[in-house]
Amino acid sequence: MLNVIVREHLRRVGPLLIALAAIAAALPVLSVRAVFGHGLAVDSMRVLSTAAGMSPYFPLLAFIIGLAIAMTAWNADHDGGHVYALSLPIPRWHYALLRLGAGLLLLVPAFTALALSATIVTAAVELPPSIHAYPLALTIRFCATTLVTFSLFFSIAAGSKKSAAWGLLAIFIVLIADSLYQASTGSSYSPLFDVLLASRSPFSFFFGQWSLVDV
Amino acid sequence: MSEAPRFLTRALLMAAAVVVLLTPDLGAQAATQYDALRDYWGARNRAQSAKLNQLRFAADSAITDTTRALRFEVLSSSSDVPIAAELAHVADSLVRTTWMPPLPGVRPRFSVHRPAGDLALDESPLQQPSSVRLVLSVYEPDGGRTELMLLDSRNPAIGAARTAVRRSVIEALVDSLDPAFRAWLADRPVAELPSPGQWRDGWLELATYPSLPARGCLVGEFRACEAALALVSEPNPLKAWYDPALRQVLGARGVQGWRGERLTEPQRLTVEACAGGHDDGACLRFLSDTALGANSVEPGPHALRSLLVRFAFSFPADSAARARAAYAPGLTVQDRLSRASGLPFDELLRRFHQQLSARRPPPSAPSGALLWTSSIWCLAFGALSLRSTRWRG
Amino acid sequence: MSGAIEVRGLHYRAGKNFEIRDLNLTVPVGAIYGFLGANGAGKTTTIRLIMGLLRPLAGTITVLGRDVPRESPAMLAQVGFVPERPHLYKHLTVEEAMRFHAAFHARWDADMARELREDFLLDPSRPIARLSKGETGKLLMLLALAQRPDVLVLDEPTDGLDPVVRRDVLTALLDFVARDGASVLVSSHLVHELERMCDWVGVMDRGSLLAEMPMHSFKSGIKRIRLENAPAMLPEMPFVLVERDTSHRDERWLVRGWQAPMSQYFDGIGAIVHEVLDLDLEEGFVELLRAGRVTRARGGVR
Repeated sequence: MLNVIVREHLRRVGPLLIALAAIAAALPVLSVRAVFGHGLAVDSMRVLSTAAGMSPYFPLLAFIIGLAIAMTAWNADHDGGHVYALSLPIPRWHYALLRLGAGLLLLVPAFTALALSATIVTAAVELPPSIHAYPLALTIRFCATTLVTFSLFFSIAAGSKKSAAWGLLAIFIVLIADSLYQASTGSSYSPLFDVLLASRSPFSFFFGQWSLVDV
Repeated sequence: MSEAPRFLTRALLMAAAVVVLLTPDLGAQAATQYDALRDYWGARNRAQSAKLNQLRFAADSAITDTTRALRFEVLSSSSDVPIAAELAHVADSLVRTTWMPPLPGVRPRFSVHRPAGDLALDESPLQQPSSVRLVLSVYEPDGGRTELMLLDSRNPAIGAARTAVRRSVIEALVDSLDPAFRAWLADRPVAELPSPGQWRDGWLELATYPSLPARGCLVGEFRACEAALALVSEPNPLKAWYDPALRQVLGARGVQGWRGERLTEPQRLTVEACAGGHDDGACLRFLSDTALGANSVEPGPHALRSLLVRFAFSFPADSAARARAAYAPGLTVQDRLSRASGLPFDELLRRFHQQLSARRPPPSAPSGALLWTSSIWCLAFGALSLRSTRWRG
Repeated sequence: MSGAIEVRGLHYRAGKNFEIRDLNLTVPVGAIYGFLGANGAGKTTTIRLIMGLLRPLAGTITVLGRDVPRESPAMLAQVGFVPERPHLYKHLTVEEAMRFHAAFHARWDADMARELREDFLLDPSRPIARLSKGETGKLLMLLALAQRPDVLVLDEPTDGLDPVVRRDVLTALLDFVARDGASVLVSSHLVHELERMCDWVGVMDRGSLLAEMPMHSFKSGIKRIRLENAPAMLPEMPFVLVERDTSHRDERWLVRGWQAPMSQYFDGIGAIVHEVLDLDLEEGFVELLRAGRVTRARGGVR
């Protein structure tokens, strides 16, 4: 069953998946090119700052990939009003699990592309003393962030129109409440950001050490 | 696409856009490299709040009056801690003359508080919620802390006063150091114990400094550390501290500072040849030219020196001897630090290096917490999605 | 009677204007049950309720003895379904759609699927999105049959198909039923089509089941009777009086459950029967709907 679900999902997102995997493979190359392209690879400070400048693109890509695969996971069912899926002889949770599994499997090419590209390009350059490449660490962080993004948006997309509307309403209310809090206290302190960026929040994965090369 | 998925897609894209738009500047986070964005926002909020408080402080005369009536409580005898008394005197003077002249009829009192075992903190005015402490700890024996207390339960802006006094005291301390010692320290403050963050920054500066001594010190070569701390004189530092590649880095950094300046034609050619790379001679000429780049030739980062001094002052020792070590004229840096710490300099340097290495920023390897947390979120969201209802109406 | 599909006291409401109330329906085992009704009568809603796609407010539905929706997965393993509107993933090819469907049905008959695909002249590499309406209808029937179900639920399976395709599809269906003895619930508003193939019929209108009977009874038992001198108050009748129209000089009655010996009833009440008209299935169906609506509009009882 998983096999056909994967094929079905792949059939819809094949080109997108190839494009995203290509970007995932290109990003380490571009990162290393930016870091070492200026010819002063011996300048550790410059290497670090340039690598840091490239680092936001990795979580951004993780977000895009997670979002894209999650949103496309249910598109075919949404189009048909879920009639076909619901007429299959398996419980709803089982079908959702198959869709989840298929989505997770479709993330693998992007992960592999990033891991291979990062490993190869960092092995191909000579790093200054005290500077190290972290292709595996970056890939693991990338995977974790993509998976969390994917599962978050997958669970939202799995809901009905009504539950999505409730979710959006809740987000809207929280944003308003946060703005009102700021307005009433006259400070720029945002409890919402405190919650969103707390170390255990699902958004915290987007922050942290995303550099391909680091001390 | 039918209406429902289109609505859902739009809704989710809007939610995603909201998250992205509200996400703080990632560039700033990247520039600071090791600061998580949460810290960045926290610091920014705090800085804004402090600024706001300062503005209110300056604008609101009623609050200013309250501050001018600030009372400084004597909590223990200052005679126990001679250097603290000196500091108290400096701070008192500063507070009186430059910061908060007392109101007529109000006699401010300045105090030094030594939180020793025989003084119960619970009985002190520290319990007042608006009290703040000014911590100057390096001169205190037995690892204790000397605290200048600023107490005013009525003044919400006391944090700004604390900051101002603290800055003034530190400046005063640095100004009164032995001139040679001060020059070696490059006027860096030495009045506080290094925080974990400062150790980490020190390690980073050493790790990224483009000189041979810095690199040697990083891997634990004792003599290289001495050289990196500018404790060894070299007749030809440009050749002793740098290889051609590093000279080019140094030259390129120096050149950046000179772009746009008025240069003579030979200077311009030298600058361009060095910055263009592969011309070590040009870099040597550039870096040797006092008017151009010689000032930037250092064996290691300045921050390392201040870190070493503060590390030396953190060892239990007699405070008066420590004060003399800091302020007495004519001593070598090694002697000063050895006396201040009560350790032979080699031993001090060894421990310093050990401490520095221990504070190396953790490598980028994802922590177990990250893996656990992400797994739990994935499971949680996955479980949520399995509750997808079959009723789509 | 133990039915392949049994619906008891079903209640469902969709919005303010449509309601199914107290619906009772039985599809006997091995029967081909024609589910007749005008557009908007509630046939599709009832079928979706039977398939467990909608949640009833009250009542019970059992298919092959399995409770719906509680035992829907097990039920669906034995039920082939052709919905009113094509529901397949449009980006898949015919072959991929067959493979996808096969993965979920343990009784999938690959040989039969291949044969049907060849009989239906379906190009295996053609995406569903590019199939004609007739080809889509064939594919839906292929998928429903090749899973070798015990029950087939077909919602207007030939609607919009040309006569040739319709014949192909229905032939495949009847062959399968003849061979496997499956029970079939097939909805349609094409009365003649059902007349040829069904052995049971149910007529639905505006959320209510107007009649449910064997096809032969339906075809022969609905009569229009022209008579006079019937008293206003009628004693108990051996047939069902669907409508009594007194607006003409002669009264016109629409009755169902009619049998010839029942004419004695009119002698008993002193009425003179002028004419007993046979209605064909379509006429009977139309009259039944019309009478049902008139009765409902008057607030009377059928």
